[in-house]
Amino acid sequence: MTAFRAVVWKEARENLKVAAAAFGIVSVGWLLVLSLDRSVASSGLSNGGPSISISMFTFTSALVALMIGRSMIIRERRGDAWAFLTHRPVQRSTLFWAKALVGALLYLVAAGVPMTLALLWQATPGHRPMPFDWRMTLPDVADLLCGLVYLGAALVVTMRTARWYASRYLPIGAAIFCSTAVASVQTFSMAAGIVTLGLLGIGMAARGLFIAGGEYAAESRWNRAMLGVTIGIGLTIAGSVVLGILNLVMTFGTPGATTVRTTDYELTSDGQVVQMTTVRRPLVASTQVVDVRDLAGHALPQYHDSASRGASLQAGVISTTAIPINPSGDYSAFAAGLGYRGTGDLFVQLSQPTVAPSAVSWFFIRRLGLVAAYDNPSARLIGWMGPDGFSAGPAQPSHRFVGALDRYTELGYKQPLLAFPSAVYRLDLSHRSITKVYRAQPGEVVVGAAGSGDSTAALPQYGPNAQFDAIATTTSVRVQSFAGQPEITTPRDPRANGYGELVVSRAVRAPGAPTVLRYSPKYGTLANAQREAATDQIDMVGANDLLVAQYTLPRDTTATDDGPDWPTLAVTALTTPLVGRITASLYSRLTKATSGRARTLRAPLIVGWTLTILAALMSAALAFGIARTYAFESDRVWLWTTLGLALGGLGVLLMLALIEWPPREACPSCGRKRVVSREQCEHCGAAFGAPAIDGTEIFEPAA
Amino acid sequence: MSTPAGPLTITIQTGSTVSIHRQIVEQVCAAVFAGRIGDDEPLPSVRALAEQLVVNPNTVARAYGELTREGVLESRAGKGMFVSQRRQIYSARERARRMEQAVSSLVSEGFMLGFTPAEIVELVAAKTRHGASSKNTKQSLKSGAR
Amino acid sequence: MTSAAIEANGLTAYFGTRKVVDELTMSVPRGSVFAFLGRNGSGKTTTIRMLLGLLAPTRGSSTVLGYDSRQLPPEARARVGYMSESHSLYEWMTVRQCGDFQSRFYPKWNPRVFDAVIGHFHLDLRAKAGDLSRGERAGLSLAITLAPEPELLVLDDPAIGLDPVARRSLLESMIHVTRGANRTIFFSSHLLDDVERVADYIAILDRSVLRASCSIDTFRASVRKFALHYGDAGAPPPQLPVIRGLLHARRSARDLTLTIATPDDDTRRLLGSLGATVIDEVPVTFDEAMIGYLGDRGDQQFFLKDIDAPQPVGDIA
Repeated sequence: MTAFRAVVWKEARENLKVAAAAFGIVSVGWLLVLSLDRSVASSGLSNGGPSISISMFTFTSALVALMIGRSMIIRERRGDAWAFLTHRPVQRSTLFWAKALVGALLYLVAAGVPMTLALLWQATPGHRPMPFDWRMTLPDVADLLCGLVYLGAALVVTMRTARWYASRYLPIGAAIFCSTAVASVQTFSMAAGIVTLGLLGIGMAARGLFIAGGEYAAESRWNRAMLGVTIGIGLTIAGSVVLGILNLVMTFGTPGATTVRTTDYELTSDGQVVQMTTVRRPLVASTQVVDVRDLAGHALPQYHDSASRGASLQAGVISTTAIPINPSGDYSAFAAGLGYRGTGDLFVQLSQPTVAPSAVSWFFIRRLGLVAAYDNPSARLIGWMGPDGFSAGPAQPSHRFVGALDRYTELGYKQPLLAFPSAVYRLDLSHRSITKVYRAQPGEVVVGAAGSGDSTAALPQYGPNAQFDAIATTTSVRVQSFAGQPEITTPRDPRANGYGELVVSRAVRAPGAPTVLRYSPKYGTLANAQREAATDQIDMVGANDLLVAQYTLPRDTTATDDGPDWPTLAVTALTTPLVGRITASLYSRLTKATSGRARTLRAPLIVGWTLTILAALMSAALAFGIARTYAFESDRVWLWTTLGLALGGLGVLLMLALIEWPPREACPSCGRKRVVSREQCEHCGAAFGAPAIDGTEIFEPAA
Repeated sequence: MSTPAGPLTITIQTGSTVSIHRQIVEQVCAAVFAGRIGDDEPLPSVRALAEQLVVNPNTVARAYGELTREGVLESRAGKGMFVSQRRQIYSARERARRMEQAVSSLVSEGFMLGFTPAEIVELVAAKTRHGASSKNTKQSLKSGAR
Repeated sequence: MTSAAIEANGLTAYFGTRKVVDELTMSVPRGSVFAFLGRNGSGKTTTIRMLLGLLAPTRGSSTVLGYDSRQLPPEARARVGYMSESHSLYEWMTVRQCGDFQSRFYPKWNPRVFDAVIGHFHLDLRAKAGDLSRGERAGLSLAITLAPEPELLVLDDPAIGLDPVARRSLLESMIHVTRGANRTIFFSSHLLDDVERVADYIAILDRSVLRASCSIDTFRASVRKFALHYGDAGAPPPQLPVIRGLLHARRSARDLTLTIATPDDDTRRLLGSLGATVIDEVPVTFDEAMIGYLGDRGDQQFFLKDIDAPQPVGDIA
């Protein structure tokens, strides 16, 4: 143990400078972020809101972890310094753990201390015009921990003797993969799990390499496997980047080669539902309408030129945003800022002052059931909005909103709707006032509400009809004026049971100003098979709640016009590992998760599979050939052949990048090329002879 | 490592055609036959001499071993190495061989320097008249090892 | 457990496609002082690193104190002292810290040995290792290598760059080590005088091939020099035939000097047939014999012979 402590002391002392530099880099990064945040927030333009999932700290923590990890090894990697370090009566693993421990501690201090200070600063009232919760530190903590994986990657990179210079850096790809996963998962515990797994794998790889002095050949089977996984992930990441660039080049090289044709349905200004076909050529031209016809399939010539379309097709059609209508629906994919890296489940920012600076920021705080108001210039809490109105000062009003806020979609509105299960409120942020616009009737629960928007510019032109609120409850849909005057009350369309979204549109200029309720199965609770078949349902409601018309629309369709994109298909098929293709195919078969769009034609499918299998077979043959040439033991020959078959080109690249290839020279006995690292010739079994005698030898058996 | 003070002085020359082992043997022999080591005076121990001369102790040990086998030195239990009481140790044949070697080297050196055979004989005769009484003028080497 | 301190069997190392050590087989007896000789780049350091398990051999195997070099356990490393060519030290430590640091690893650390060597080299305990002179560095390196009282001492060119006084101190320290029973020293050096003084066995590595491994006496007895003189009347020295064991030949107008390893009667008969008027078998010094091995083989002339001496300047008549 005293030896361990001595190494710890030595390592700490030797790497202090790098740690100090790391501390500086991280600190500067945080200062930059905080000052930017401060200046933006005080101008009231935007403040945080749902945070993006990667930050400056994601990069600086990874960078300094790489720096420190490299520094732990680089000076002692070779020659006499390596000898001086390792020729002492301790296990190499003891030396490694001492180094790893010191590296981790230095890193955690160098990156963690500035991070903690920055978070403390953010937590102090008066620094940011937004609520603070300790849970908001979790993304940074996750990044801090993920840096340890980078540290491990740097140890592997620095220890490993790599044949090609670029392949040396592949382990960093594995760390990047970890980062990406940490940034994408929903919960902190999943992120911590990913970091733990990454650390375990890359730590084992680093330890094994250290014990083997950086040489693959000297490693144990397990350590080789871990190193293989690390390098393999790195190769996959590097390969994806290369393919991505290739794809871009191919797309740019042949602009307009692919066109996307979409058929959708629209309410026109004269109150008709029409089918509209658009074509999009990515990177070349914006979307173009190529065909407009009514639902019976008759072409509508009055909309054929764009001028008439602009003037009459959609003018005067006012729509709400999509209203969630299914209490059990899964809206998480669309809800902003959910998951541990967002603030969506802590609070909702009601005003999103991205367009015009505003003096006050409003946040509905879920835990409190209250809306907090922050003054942007001073970053101070100035008051609370409850169901009873605004109360200035830090004291929270006692009367609170009851129940969960629905999926909030009224971002940027000055008079947003807040829908709770039992009531719907309209807030007037400019006047700091609140009105209850709807109270749930007995037997129903409000599930969502949305307004037609408070951009009153359209109002003089279209009249008061253009401003309406739509409220969806468990039993009915109600459309009412801003003032709360009921205009339409209609039961939920039974054809749309289990559907997830509703959009209410009104053709203001059409006679009778018909209102259209369009139910969509998105985010609903239909079973997979049902969702396959389900299509949008439209109810058109006229005056006096009269159902004017009902439509069952065909599915919106999106299909490529020009048939399969053969070059892309070929590249994808050739680079997709067989194992990945089989897994994906089994998965989609099991979950039946094929949408109409992903349904592929038969020919490309057959060609794709053929190419993938061909690539797998060629890779297996190549791996087999290389393994035989270098006289691998038979179990290793089969291992690499199998990997070649399963992983395709990736398997062969992994083999080339991972293994140190010994030179080959002619066998003195049989004359064929043999691997110099084997004692016996793989062809004739002869050993290498002693060097040629030149007659000057003096050998004497030792006394 | 105190070396017994004595008139035994040995100089080691590296880079010579004579090996270190032989240099020690010859110089001890010379000292013994010149009477510069008394009968009761112990020679330095193997270690002491090795450290004094800065040479491998095995070399010294082998030299002492050879001197013992040749009867120049003898080992007294627990006391160390001493000059042998019974000097005459060489067989007649060995004595002849050694003399022959010395004379042939003397003669070839003499010829090389241009002396005639008569002059060489004369010089040898003069030398043998002076006998063993001539003084060795070699400087005492207290090796810089201390 | 074998009786040898070090045993190498077919040890071979490649750096890329270059063969650095070629099928090296040798045995270092316990208790010996074994000099490992060869020119720079002949593979000595690589061999030493392989022996100590610091570098994996491409093929072949070796043992140190009976342990497989590739898996030396800590208890074996505790018994093997190693001083690398560059006298590796942690530059930022003081002399005292170097000793303290090193002592943490060795249960049998002897502070008296450390202090003695430090004193012998007149080192200041508070000096930084990075500030020491070459000789002082060697002293400190030696102190931390000797203090654990290793059974086997491996010194990679310990005398490189040392002044005569430091060199002598180093030799004395080496002789001091042999005081313990069965202590073995395996060292490489270019200083043939030192080797002649302290070594009892030598091995010669010539361009990655081991050419000799024997006791120093055997070596001296095996390398002979023959001076062939050609009288003024007769023919000049002829072209040499293939002579087995020929290390070195030097010729001038009337003389031919041949250094030959392990000459036998056949060799002498062959020399007799070369038409010389006189053939002398002359004694050879240790360094001559070594240079015969380490230098270029075969027929040589003085390499600056054809370059004229510079004319004196300003010699005005």
